[in-house]
Amino acid sequence: MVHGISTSCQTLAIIAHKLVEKGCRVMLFDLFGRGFSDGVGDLPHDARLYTSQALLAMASSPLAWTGDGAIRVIGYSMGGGIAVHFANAFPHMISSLVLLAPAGLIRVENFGVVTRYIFTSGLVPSRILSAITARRLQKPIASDVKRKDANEPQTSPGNSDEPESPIATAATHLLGKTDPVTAALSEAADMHAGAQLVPLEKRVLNYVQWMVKHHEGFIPAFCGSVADAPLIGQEEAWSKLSERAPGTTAVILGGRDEIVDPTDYEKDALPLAGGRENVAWSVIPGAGHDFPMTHAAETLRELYKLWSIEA
Amino acid sequence: MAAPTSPPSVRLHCHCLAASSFLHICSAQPRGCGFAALNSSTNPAARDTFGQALVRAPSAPLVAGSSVLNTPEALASLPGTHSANMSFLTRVVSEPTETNTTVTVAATIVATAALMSFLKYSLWPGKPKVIPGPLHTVVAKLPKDELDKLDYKPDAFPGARDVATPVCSRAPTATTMLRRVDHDQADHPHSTGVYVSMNGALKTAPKC
Repeated sequence: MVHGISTSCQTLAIIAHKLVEKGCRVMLFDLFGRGFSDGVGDLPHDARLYTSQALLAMASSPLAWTGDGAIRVIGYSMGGGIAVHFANAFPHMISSLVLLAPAGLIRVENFGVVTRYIFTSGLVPSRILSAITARRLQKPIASDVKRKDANEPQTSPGNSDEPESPIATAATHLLGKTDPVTAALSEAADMHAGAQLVPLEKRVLNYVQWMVKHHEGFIPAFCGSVADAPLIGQEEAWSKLSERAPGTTAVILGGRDEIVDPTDYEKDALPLAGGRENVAWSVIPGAGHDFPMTHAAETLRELYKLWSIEA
Repeated sequence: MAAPTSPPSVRLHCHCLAASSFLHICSAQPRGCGFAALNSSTNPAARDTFGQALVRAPSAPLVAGSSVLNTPEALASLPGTHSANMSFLTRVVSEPTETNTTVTVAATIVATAALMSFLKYSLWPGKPKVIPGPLHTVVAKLPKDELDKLDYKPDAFPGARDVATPVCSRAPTATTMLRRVDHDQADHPHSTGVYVSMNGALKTAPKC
């Protein structure tokens, strides 16, 4: 199981423990710069680094984790983007690839062209960017991202029914509906104002803020991942998923996820991956980006169905 | 004699600076070459260049217009433009200006280099190969009661172990800690020893 950009493997704890109860042998690892893993300072935090890390973690075990159809891989958020690359590199090793709110094809307007350029260009000094990012991670603000939810029509006025002006559209494209920090924090907890956090969300959010203070590799890893990790523009990698055998790839999305938007992904990702005849595609109604914590039971139900495990 | 047609004091300063800069840019020329050219009636181009700069000295505005000074006679007839006086002026005005400019340019280069180095170090710090994680920095020093308060503890997943990798190895230390790997026994799903420690504490349990 591969976790997301701003958290440790803590976010997948509920699902991992339940799978263990069902008899699965589960391997979790903290990505470089998160949890209790050291940070890597001199390499780009891209798919190559993290797929290598996953291989190294498996190779460190005295038990065999590799071989034809040897493992099932679950990737969550940025971990989903990494898992896609891992599956493409070792297509025969992975009997089932499950992507939970996977990054990779997040629309650029979710981050904003300008905002993303700030992270990728290097024009903003890294120390200043790190300081700003650390401050934002420690003092999260409630998200005001507009949701486009096909399953749950908006009740508030002035949303998708009203076309935006060209200027507003351009501004959204440049500045983004949200920023990478808020987007990343949404995998730790529901960042909407007034949201009731489950205990695990609170612990994960607290730990993110603890990492900002005490894990020197965390902010570099976070900024490096925003710049280089497979979050957006991974069409080529996703199109290779269509070569996988039908039924061996699954995508589970949150119905209210504003980062990995289910409507956008159905348009952008599903055709690339081979359509519904090739990919098991499901949306958990009412779930946000952090649904592996808030809707773990529903997520597990999908996994049991995929893997023919009795619930 | 024509009246001055241009603002004197400000342009004086500008011309002097222009001449000074020129000398430094053409640093292969001997020092004072500008004034040697000014004193020579055979080089009207040079005279025009430096003559304007010098004759518009503080004493010049009342008597000089640049059009008058284009001939040697006119230059010699002007008070304060005799060759001896020009040599004096050369020493008093030009040479210190050259020296000061040289020092200024050198100091500027040194200061700029120092500032750039400082900014690069402070704003774009170096990238170490390994950035130690909290196990090496704070967790090892935390008392047990503080450790218990952590929202994600090192033993959150029983059986966690640390794996050295070439990506992030801090040779020659063999105990490099990079990540936690947690797992259970696939063949004993109902065993209480679901997670198996790799540190030898549970030697009877199968390794995974």
